[in-house]
Amino acid sequence: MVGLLKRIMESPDVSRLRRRVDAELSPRHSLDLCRALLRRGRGPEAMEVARQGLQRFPHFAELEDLLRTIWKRYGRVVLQEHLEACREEPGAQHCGPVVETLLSYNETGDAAQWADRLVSEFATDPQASILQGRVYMRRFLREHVARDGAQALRAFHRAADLSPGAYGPQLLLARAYAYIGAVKKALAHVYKALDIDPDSEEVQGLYEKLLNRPMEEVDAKELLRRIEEEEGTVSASGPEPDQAVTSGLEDLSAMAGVRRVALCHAGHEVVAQEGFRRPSEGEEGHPFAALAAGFRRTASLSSKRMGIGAFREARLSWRGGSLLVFAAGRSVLLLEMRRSTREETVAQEARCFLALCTASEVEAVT
Amino acid sequence: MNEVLDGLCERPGILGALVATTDGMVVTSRMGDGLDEDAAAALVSSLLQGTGRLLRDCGGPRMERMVLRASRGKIVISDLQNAYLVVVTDGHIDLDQGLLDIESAARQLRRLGRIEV
Repeated sequence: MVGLLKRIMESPDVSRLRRRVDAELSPRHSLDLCRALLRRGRGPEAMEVARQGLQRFPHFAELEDLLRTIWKRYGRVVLQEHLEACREEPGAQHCGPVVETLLSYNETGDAAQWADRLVSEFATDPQASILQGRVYMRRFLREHVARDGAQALRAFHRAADLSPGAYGPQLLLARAYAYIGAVKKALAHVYKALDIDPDSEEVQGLYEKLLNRPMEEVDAKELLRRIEEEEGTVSASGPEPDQAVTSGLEDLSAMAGVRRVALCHAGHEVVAQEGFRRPSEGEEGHPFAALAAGFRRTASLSSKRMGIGAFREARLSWRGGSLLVFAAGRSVLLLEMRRSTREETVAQEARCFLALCTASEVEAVT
Repeated sequence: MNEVLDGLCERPGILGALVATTDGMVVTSRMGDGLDEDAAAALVSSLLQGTGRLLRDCGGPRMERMVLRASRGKIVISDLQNAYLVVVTDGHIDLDQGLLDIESAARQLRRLGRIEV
């Protein structure tokens, strides 16, 4: 009832923005609604809008940044109840919701710290290890840092050892190995899970998916390293970019200050200049796009090995121009710019466009 | 050179800094805990080679600065003519202010003259 009254009293621009967010036309609407709510002092609501927006568009960097900023101010309010329960009865069962909440608001750093603490204090509790594994698996899915993947596998194995008759850790191990391409190992854990619960539809579904995949020829450590280096593009090829993607790219290339734009998306390369898609240059494809993909690989590896996480974007500037590179999921977008005061405006549009392209890239492993 | 890096690393949010040649040799370094200076210099050298190819495709300009943003930090690479200043920052730094400090340090380092190893 209170919610209904609030909506009735809501100012027209917030209502208009809510309608646009509900229509899921663009990640920018979630960002605009968040900002409108913040201006009205409705921080916790803005935080929830940002959280839901990131679920739909997981690679939208501006929304991620805004959520982090709002969380610093209002996160404590959301966590309060869980923190009190955790203080009264420490343990994975009561402190687990703290970690779950942090994960749902994208605070994977804090979630990892909590999970690590739980494991060190409750080393024999399988739930603590499962929580830790899920946190690190979530980080690995987002950032493809091999160390996180390895940590997740270790945590799941520890949980399985601590509770040999439990179905949960076996399923988590099966999914994790399936994601990295360790099909033999995944099947081994599928069989163990089926021994415990032969009627599980979830496990049977995973079993059927795995049957048609080739067996791995290298160990899990090597598979993790390959995913780290190739940014998870193990099976990169997908359908050709649709008309909406090509049209969006052409619009970007027509913006003032932009010389040309290249997109590498789902194994395909598209280049646009002055509002039109450019045909590929024979068998070589698009050298400009290939350079973008190469830069992304090197930048990704550099940032991961230097411990600052997954590469997101880069700005290379020189007298007379600049290059903007944006990476999200399995895609990379490169814009060559003339020296322009509109660089930040173009960058915002580019981030929005890439978030739309990669909206469907969400893996359900944890 | 060391004083310039010391002053820079005292700024909040700056995790470490080093000066390296274009082929990855460390000239001087003030990298924080957990940051391997030789690995960082080698990675940056590799990154700059990739950048060089990209820039040649754009008409061969000399890069003045690169700001690389990752999920948990940033790297700023500034051209010092025959070497590079590499600064690693945390993810929450206000880059507008941070870039001013970094650019100021780069200017001081350029004024020191040609860097030779």
